[in-house]
Amino acid sequence: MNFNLKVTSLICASLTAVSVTANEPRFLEVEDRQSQSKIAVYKQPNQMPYNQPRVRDFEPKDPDFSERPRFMSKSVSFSFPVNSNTVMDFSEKQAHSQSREYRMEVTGEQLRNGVALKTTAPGALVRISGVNNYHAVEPQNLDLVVANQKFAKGTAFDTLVDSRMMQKTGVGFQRGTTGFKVANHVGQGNFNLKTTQSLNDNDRFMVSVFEKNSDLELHLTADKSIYHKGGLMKLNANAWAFGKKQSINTVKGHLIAPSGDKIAVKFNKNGELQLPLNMATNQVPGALWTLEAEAETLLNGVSVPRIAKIAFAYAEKTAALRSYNVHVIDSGSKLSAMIPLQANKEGRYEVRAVLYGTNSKGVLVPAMVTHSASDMAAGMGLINMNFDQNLLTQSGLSAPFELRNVQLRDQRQMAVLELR
Amino acid sequence: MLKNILALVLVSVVATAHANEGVAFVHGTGSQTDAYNDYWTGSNIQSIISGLPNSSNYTVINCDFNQYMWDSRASGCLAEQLTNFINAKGITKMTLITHSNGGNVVRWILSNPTWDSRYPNIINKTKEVIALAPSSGGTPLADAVIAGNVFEAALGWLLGYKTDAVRMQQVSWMAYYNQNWLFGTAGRPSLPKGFVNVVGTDVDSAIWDSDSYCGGYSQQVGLEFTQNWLDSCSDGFLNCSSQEAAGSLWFRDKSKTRGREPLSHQQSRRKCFNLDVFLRDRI
Repeated sequence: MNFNLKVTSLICASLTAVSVTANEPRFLEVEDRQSQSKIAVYKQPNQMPYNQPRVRDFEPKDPDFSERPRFMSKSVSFSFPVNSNTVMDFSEKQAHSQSREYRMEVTGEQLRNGVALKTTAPGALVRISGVNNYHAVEPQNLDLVVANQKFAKGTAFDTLVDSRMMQKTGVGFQRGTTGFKVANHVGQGNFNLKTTQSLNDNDRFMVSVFEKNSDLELHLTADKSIYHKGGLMKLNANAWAFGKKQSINTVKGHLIAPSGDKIAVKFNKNGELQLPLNMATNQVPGALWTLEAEAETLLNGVSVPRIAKIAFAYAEKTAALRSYNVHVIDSGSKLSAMIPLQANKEGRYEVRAVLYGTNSKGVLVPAMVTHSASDMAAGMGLINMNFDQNLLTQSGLSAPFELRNVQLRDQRQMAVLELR
Repeated sequence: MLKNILALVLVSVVATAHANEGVAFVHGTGSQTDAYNDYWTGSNIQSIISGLPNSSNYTVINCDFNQYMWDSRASGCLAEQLTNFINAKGITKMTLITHSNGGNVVRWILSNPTWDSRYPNIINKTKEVIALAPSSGGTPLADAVIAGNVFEAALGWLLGYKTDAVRMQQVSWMAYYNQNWLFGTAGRPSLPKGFVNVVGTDVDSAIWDSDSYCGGYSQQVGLEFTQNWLDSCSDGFLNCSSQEAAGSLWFRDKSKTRGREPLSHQQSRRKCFNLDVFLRDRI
């Protein structure tokens, strides 16, 4: 679809349409999405693992909009002044994160017998919390064995935070959480962590390790941060240390829904993942999905774990901007534009755009950012953008005008549908 | 053109002369029912509002900020209480003093005026937002709580319960919201009203130092531990980079505070080291 933003300034006496609907068939949209989906599958290289989250893995639950308050259904336009020096970047961004931490789940029995604690730098910060209990593994009862040297009863740590003190941090760690920081003089490497406490064999604990001073980072990058149902997520996991890319032994991941439900996904041996997204979309409006990757990286011949995650938006493409010319209408005392869109569902849609006007040198410069939203029935419709006349007067700009960076949003899903 | 400018100046002069100014205190994460006493403390609020021409023109917000910022129980509740305040007192210019995640909820309203038809009037009446230690860029501690609290949703005074508000303040989540739904960060349109930050840069918790007791000693000790997750510049809960991610800097604590004391995250909502005086003088 081409959305032609060739803008014409019209001197128009009166044009007051706000929103209209038509019963245009919507089959084309559905076909469009189906064909996109087919193309995505076709393009997928053979060696890439194919992950197809099942729709029923996430139980759909329709949000109830039946009793929306009146102040959330009125048509509203609002304009923000733009400083000509402000640099605005509306481009679509990748989602990226980097991590120097990992977690491992261990049992009470394993903690009594000793678990491997891998570190790549001095000063690792460790927290221990219950997975099926809130028993505390107190740091003063922990021994650390470093290259056959035993540091008994917390002597390997320069900071010990018992369960009582951890509650006083006020952060909100669950009951029984404890922590310690490995003293710098203990150094780095493969340690053995062991408790002298009498823990139940089947108690499970999460050991979280944050290596603030480590140079080994897991980088996770997705091609976008906004996806729509039927789209394809492309993801890369890379490990870096000392300015060089490190090889990854294994990498696995989880897709985590806003509800907290998880589904496993597989990366290939190069740390790449292509993930068709066909999960149910109507979970919690505005809440993000998370993709978490867990990698084992080889550093100096030693395997070291890292966990990184990225957050992304996932929604149904409920409407689309239509490919008509947009006219900025100058009626002397009122400047407005009507943006055509095709709504596949009844809802509340918002259009955002930057209005450009012409300065005394004949150059187009940004005048204001305008948001306009209206409730709309399914079908073809128009959203009327009313630009702020006072801001325009203050800017000193005049015709010809132009609309750029037009965006379409679905406020009921709290989703960005299009960025142009 | 000149006539237009003169008219605008005249209107602005007249508006200032007849302004009825007020202040609203907007708390951080958590569900408050008596934020006057429990969150801000009465002596702090009374000291700050003495800077108003009419010291009865203030309101203390009590909402459920355990929710996502766009939730009706968060920004919807805030919009309702601000609208009631504006209408009841005839407020024409309002300063919003926010703490921590309260800055995000206010930024939601300032950035999304079409979400709720009450928002434009609130924006138009707002003179300035003074954001005390705002969590504009999120905090790694929210990530740590979400990852580590597998068994129990614990209660903390910094993040409340493990709730939607905590989820939202994870670093990667705030990066998305800043990029797509909120204004005022780098590369994004400016907020329609000034949003100035007061930034806490460190935590002091020496037992012999009476300044460590402002706001509660045990909480100071806790914050000193949580600093381990953060950069060298932090208030024990938020990196300075997060506090400075949106809007503009008013001041970093030590540049103004009595004795160049740092403001920990809990001290930036209390009457500590003359912070109340700086706020009083600015509103």
